[in-house]
Amino acid sequence: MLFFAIRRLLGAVLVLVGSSFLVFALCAASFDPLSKYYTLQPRPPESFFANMREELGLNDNFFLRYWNWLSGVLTGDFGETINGTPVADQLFARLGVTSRLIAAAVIIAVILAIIVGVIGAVRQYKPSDYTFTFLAYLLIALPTFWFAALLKEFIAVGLNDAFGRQVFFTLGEETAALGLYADGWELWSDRLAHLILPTISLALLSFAAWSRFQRAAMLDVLGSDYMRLARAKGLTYRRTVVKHGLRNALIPLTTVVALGIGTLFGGAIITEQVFVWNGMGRYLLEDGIGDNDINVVLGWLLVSAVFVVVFNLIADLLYAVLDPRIRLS
Amino acid sequence: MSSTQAASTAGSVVPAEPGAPVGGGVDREFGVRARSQRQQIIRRFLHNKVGMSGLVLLAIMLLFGFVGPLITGTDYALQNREAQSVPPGSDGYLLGSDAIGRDLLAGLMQGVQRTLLIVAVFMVIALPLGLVIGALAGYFGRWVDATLMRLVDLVLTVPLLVVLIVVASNFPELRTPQGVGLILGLFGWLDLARIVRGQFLTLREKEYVEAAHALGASDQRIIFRHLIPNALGSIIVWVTLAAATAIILEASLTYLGFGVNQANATSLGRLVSDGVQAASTRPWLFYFPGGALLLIVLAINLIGDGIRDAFDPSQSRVRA
Repeated sequence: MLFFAIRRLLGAVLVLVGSSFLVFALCAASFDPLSKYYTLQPRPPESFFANMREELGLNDNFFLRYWNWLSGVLTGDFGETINGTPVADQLFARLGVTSRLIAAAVIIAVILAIIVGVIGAVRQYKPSDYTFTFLAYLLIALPTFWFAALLKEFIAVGLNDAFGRQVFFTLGEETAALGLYADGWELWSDRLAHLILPTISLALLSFAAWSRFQRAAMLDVLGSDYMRLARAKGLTYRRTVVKHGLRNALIPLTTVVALGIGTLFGGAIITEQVFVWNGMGRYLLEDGIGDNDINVVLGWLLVSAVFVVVFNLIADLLYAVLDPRIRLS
Repeated sequence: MSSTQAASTAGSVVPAEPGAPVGGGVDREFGVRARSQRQQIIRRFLHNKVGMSGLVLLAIMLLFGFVGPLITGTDYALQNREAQSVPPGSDGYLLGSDAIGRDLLAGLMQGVQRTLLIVAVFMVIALPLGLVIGALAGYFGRWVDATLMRLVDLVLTVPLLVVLIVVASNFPELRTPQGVGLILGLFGWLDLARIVRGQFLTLREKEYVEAAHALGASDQRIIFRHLIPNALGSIIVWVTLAAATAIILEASLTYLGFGVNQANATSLGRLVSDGVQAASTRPWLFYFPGGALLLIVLAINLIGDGIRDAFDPSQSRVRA
């Protein structure tokens, strides 16, 4: 299993280099970090642009620029933004914000998905199954930003009015500048209040698709021979479902969830945008693409791609743990 | 999947019951009427409540989008200074109007049309690409497979939405429904290629492929006449689910500012994302487009599930 993991990680490094090169080529061809200065009135002198180009290394050969970036990354230096601040520090701060958003959402979504999926399978074609199925279909068909806006406008605003004070916050990951002077309980309770709505939104939307997977997997397992054997041995129904059924039915969900987490780390971009969370997603949109900043886009790409790769690996390893028949070689 | 079409050959070997017409051949009194694989699948789909309700819902939405404008006759582009932001039910504005006096009902109808256009452009590009690349990788294997699939893996390391954003940010001239369909299509075939490859890897080991080889069939013939028809189930399911995903992705891209954002371009996604800004002040601009989008995506997803059940009834524990 160790060799399997090592080989996969080595392969992944190649993939990361490849995809960063592709994105670099795409961005280098079209980004012009100086574009925001062109429209200034009065227009800066030509020498200013020449200086900027020299400073940002835009005059260098394409491959040389990529090599400079790549060799920097190998030594832990992600380069600087066009405003001259180091990308690595910002990336880690943003990653922290996004992890806070995702961690709670994923845990809630997985628990809900397992419960609802198992209920749907065990009570197939009963009213409860139909209700959950219908709910899942609705949630899957909703655009994230629309659902988030719905939560914001009608749940948050309504409840805040009912309580007469701000219980849910609809914007930002914490009250502006609170982190500068507050700490401990005050800071974290504030963050928690900001966390609730985005978490609900993200959790419900992820849960919907996952519960369908869980239901399908559970149905598959319930029809299998070893379940009948377990019943024939005299085990209670509950015990067969939980001990023999659920464990096997968790395997497909693991892959789906692991892949989903990897993608989510790249930014629950839309959720962050709706709730104005300054996480990875908004970092890419505002600081990266908005400012035509290659270093930000590449840094973002690398971090999120690493998460995709790592969680893919975790999915494969969990597979072998959950199902001893699967041998990794 | 079991087939019941063996009745005709089996029946002719077993002697007919006494009293049966001489030379009548097959006795069908107790037999099952032979149905081809395809007839069975269509039959199962037609008996599937989920799939059929999706189909009816989609038909209603398409009627609304394409026949509706002929009945109401209002043009979405028409801006009425006298009727800006009127609520639903106002004279001549059944669903209200937006800030520059355009009729929301006409907008929704046009949005449904544009959504279909986006899905069509997306499919025209993504379906052949995914089919051919998946088929080549799965059928020829070895270095063809390795090269193509590493390429797919490469693009898949980055979340699809991000790939779309980066590409779309580079081409502002593609901020029209057709353009968004094009971008979606260029990057939407990756999962199809994986699905087709996976199917081909198992199918090419089957006896009938070996038989076709032995009879001297060309690779092209085996791929198009034997393998693709047998992988059709997964392909059709992908088509429906990908269509639904494409509609949502278009709306998301538009919301983030990289989709249908040119001055005169409309789409359902654009109506929805514009409506989000007006959720508390003019709720009709928020609810109706969102509802329309929800219904279309829901309908397509339901159809997809119905088709999946029709191709693979093992999921449902009730005999189909």
